[in-house]
Amino acid sequence: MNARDEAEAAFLAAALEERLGALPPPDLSRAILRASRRPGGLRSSGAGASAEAAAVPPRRSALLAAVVLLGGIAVVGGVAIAPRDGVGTAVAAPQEPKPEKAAGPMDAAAHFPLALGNRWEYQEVIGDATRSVEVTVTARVAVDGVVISQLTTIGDGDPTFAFWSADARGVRHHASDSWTIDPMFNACKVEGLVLPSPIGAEAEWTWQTLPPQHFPKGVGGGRRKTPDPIEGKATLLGVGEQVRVGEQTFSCVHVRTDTELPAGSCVEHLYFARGVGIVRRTSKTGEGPETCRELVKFTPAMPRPDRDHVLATALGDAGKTCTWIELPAADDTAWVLRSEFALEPRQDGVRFHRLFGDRIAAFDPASLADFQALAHDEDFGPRMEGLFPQRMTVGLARLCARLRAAQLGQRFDRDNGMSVEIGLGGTKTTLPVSFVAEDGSRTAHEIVVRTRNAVPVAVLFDGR
Amino acid sequence: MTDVAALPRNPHLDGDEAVIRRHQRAVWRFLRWLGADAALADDLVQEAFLLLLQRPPVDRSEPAVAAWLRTTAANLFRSTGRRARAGVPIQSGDLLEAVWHENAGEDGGDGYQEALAQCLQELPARTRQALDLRYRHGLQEDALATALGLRAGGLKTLLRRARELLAQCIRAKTR
Repeated sequence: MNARDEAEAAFLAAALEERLGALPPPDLSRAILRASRRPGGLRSSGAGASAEAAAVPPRRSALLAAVVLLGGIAVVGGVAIAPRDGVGTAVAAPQEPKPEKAAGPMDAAAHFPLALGNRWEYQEVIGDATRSVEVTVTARVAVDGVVISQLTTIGDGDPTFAFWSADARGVRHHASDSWTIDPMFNACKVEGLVLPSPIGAEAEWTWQTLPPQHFPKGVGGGRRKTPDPIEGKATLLGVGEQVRVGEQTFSCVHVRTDTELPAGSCVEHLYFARGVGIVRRTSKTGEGPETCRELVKFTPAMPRPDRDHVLATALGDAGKTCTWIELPAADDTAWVLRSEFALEPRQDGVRFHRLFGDRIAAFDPASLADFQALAHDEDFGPRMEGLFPQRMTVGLARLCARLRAAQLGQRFDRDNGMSVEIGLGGTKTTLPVSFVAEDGSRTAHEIVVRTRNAVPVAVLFDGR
Repeated sequence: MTDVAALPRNPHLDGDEAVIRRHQRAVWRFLRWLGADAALADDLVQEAFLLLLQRPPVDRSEPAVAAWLRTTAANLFRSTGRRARAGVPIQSGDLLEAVWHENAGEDGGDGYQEALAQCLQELPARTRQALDLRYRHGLQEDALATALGLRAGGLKTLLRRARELLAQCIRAKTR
């Protein structure tokens, strides 16, 4: 490569960092003008830093992180729980929010990539027992302005679900006021800061969470009591720690959390690698055995294509007339489906298109085959066949309601109660719904969804 | 290159703020191209403009001011001795100017960025994934090869091909 080629390549690399790394040129005009009016103007340090630079939102460098880290270590970590406020606070939000600003070099978010479809395979050792565990990002939904990622863990038992976010505020674990086997995020405004951003700016911090609720105590009648929140402390123990797992060595950020649980003191060590996520996690509660989970393989998802671009490619000009159907965060549908739906207005009514990954397919809410194809794509079997199959059937029923209402030129307003029957290998949801027309008039309808082995076997609208 | 003249302090260059707004993005991108990290580029852009406001060049035409800012920024960058990332070699001023003009054009790189955004969408998914992991998540070569299930040689080929495709596509859209 000659000098010109090198220069061209460097130009492209800088442009890619700007575009993909979300590092656009800042507006420094006010800072410069303020400095120019100050006697002496901007004072340049040996490193090129300037006093007035402080007037501009500073970019946190790794140097800052290291300085803060060296300054002291000791943080509080914990697991906390929060009081239930009765009703989940999730508000209407698009299923797939606009892309977040990408993480910078020392942003905590860069250490826990939560793109939809990212998958981590771990080997977990508890005492003498070893098992394989797979964790996948299976949904991303905006709740109160924060993009919450649903992480599904599949091991040798029922799938369990945890909810995380990674953004400019740091990496947070969001407590859901439900059981760990429930895929639905029940917001309770309890969140634990696991890794503040920028890394190194804080050496210790407190955090809150709810204790894990493994067993559905309230099932079978009676209202479940929300557990009391727990507060713990977290400590940043290191950056750039070399951690070897299997054949690979990762440079990690090391966080320790200390929490007082009913079963005893819980000490947990988390090792985050940039661009990969958690590569090792150990925990020990009281006199119990230590649990150690180590990364075997991280498989990042393919980047999601621009949905409008995919639609335009598939439908041509018709794609420009389509609108995307937003699925509210308070709706089960948002937490069980990765598919997105676009509505195309046509002279003879409306038509729906389903986007899954980079594929577009027509979707008819009256077609059982289309629902079965959806279930196949969504991989409902391993993900939703645990103790909470009703989320899947209710989610499908609400999706059906939304699409059927749109077909009628109306709006799906609300459920009028529902009934769920869970049998061996099958689930039935009956969902009475209310649609609202443009003139404000209401009509009542009923949707029935039956599934067997996580596959829809009937999706009925008003009995048909 | 236009030299700095010792004129009275703070003469308004067609309105200081307008001048800063017109040129700051290009100067910042120029510094990033040289190898400055984002924080250093922020600092040096401010220093370059302060020097401009304190001692403006005699030739205040837009191209002359732009060239003066680039030269000043390059000198400031050289004096820091900091190169946080791989950048273009700055020994050859003529080459630097030629490649800058071909790519950044008259708009300081805004058009290049727009073309890049479009061209990224046209890449095969796996290629986009590789670039995403490299530039958004900052994965270095070992981790990137592992994530993509490639050997080092395969990764290099993939990235080289990605850069070639992007360069061709951008060239077609901007020139």
